[in-house]
Amino acid sequence: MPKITIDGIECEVADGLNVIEAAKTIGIHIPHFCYHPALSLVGQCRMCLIELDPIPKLQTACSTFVKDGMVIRTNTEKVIKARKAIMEFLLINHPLDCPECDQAGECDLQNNSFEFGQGFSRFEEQKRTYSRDIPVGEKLVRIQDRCIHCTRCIRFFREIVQNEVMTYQWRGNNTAMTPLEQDGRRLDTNYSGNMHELCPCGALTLKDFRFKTRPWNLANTESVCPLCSTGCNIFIDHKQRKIFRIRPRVNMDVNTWWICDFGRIDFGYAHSETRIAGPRVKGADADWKTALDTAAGLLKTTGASATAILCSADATNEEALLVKKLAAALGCSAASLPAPGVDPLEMEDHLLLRADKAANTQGLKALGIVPDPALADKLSGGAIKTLLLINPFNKQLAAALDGVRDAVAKIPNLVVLDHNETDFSKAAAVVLPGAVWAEKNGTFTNYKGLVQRINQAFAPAGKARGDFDILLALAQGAGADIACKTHIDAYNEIRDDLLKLEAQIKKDIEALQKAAAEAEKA
Amino acid sequence: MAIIVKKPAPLTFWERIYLPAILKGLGMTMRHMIKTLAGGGVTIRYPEQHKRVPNNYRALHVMPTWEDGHIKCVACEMCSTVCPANAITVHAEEDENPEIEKRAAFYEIDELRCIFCGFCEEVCPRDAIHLTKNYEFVTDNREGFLYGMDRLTKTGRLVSELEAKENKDR
Repeated sequence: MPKITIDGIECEVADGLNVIEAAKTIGIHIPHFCYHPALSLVGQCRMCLIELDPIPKLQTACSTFVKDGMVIRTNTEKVIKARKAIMEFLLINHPLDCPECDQAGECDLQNNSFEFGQGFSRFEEQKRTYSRDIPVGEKLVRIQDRCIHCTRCIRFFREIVQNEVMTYQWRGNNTAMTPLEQDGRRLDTNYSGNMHELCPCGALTLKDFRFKTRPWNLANTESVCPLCSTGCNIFIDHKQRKIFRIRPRVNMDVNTWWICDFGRIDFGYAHSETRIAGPRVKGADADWKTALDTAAGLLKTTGASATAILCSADATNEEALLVKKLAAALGCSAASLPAPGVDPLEMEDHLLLRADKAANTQGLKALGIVPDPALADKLSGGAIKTLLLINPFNKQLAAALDGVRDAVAKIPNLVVLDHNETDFSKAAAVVLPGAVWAEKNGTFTNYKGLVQRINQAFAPAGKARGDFDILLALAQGAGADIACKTHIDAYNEIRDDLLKLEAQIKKDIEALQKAAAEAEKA
Repeated sequence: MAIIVKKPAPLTFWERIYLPAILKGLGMTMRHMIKTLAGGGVTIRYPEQHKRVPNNYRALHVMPTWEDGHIKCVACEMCSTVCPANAITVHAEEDENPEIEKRAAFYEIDELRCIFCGFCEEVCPRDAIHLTKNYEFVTDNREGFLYGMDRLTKTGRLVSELEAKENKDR
């Protein structure tokens, strides 16, 4: 643990930190553009200059690593002057078109200019401009005029995505970051959207969010991505009960700084036209009381052996607990269906995306709702006369139901709880409109067994209700005596089970890794 | 904490008999009466006549356009952000011209909400909104006070008419 002095404050920091990170630990901000903790060091923006005793010239903080007895100064006149000069230098060719630029409001260049730059420009000549015709793929918008050549994008694609699709072109004043659209390499990788946060100016922005709104208008709700079992931590940026974009939230245990583009862009189903507008009984609109009473009555009609609950793995742990209690009250089984050819631990790419396209497979497992291969046969054989189908909109459950689609639609007492219309909701006796993940409170358990909270960003759309409340009403209607009335009560009830599972999965993963390492050795 | 009450100074003799103050007030009334009788009226015959408002008077908004009729506004949402009365709604869209890049697709000011503080004019980085001296925009329904882009780009004409009227009155 080296002892260093920053701006007269003596502190002890961890080994192997650079000066930017060391200063961060004691709350001193050193401005930077090219440095990013996930990427290699290049030290080329020169914004992080600091004074280091006894070196006469200024040093870059990003490429200076702490040593015992180091004396660092970040607020001397020399440093302030240097920062001012660098800001002026960076802004010489920057078009300063902040009013049109999507980055404004969350722009490093804007913030640092405001804090460390000067309020005027001495540059009177023509600014350098580039052609805007170079295609950069479907997900991004590239405006090269704004680029400050920090090369974060180049390093990101080279080091993180491991698909080198960007490079420098030309030299000196004409340097341009250019996409390499040859040899089958395209900028449309599954992680291109991360440029939206990574680019410190507005040179690469997200096409999906372009001109939708300004970032300062958005409320940010901390949540977890529901689209695969990785459980990436995200911010839901929303305004007036509408999601505008999804951003990654740093969690070094799960997704580090990134999310994939599926998670970033695929939230349209939360506001699609196929959202179920209201509860329906036998195809006719009904009020909630009638629908819930009818559904609870239907579930009890055909006896335990001809009744089943089929649940997608997009349910939260708390909802899964209620499903289990409902099943116990009805005396029937609650299960999910095995997804065809999907191993829950299998990776789909080298970074984040997993083959298991449901958020909470492990959580359901911990609560005893496991894939039941026999259920599909029962469904197609017509042994099931009453079925509560929860969230068949989920891609994985929809794929598993593919073979028995017609048989399920013909079930006389089909109760569907879902947020979007499917073939099943159209054929159902009772339809209960539920909530999408952004409208729910609860927890998801990711593939590693890590239990993570999702927070409600806004109330369910239209007449829809939270799945937890609907299941609670159904369970009470079926005669179950349920003590947990809120998702927090439910979580407290299942916490021990979830923690046990997390420990178990950790052990399993370690064993798997050990076996793999031994196999490699052999 | 003790509260110290500052009592006003006791009235002097002349203040106590009220007569000087009454005479002073009567004098002012007489002065105005004589002035009006002599023809130097203080009343303006509105709406035939218009009072000349100061140059920094703030009333109905106008959105200037370029010479080719293209709207100056780039929908940066600065005005709607700074507006203390939440009177401005802006939605942006892509402009066909890549040099301009962004323009307002929808722009609406609710003049009933507006408090005419002029912050929108002050904050605009593209000089795309002004407050004119036109205070004559009453209607008898609420929708009439919702000024969209189509009307805001034309209110400039009303301003010149008003100024012409003002000059005639002078």
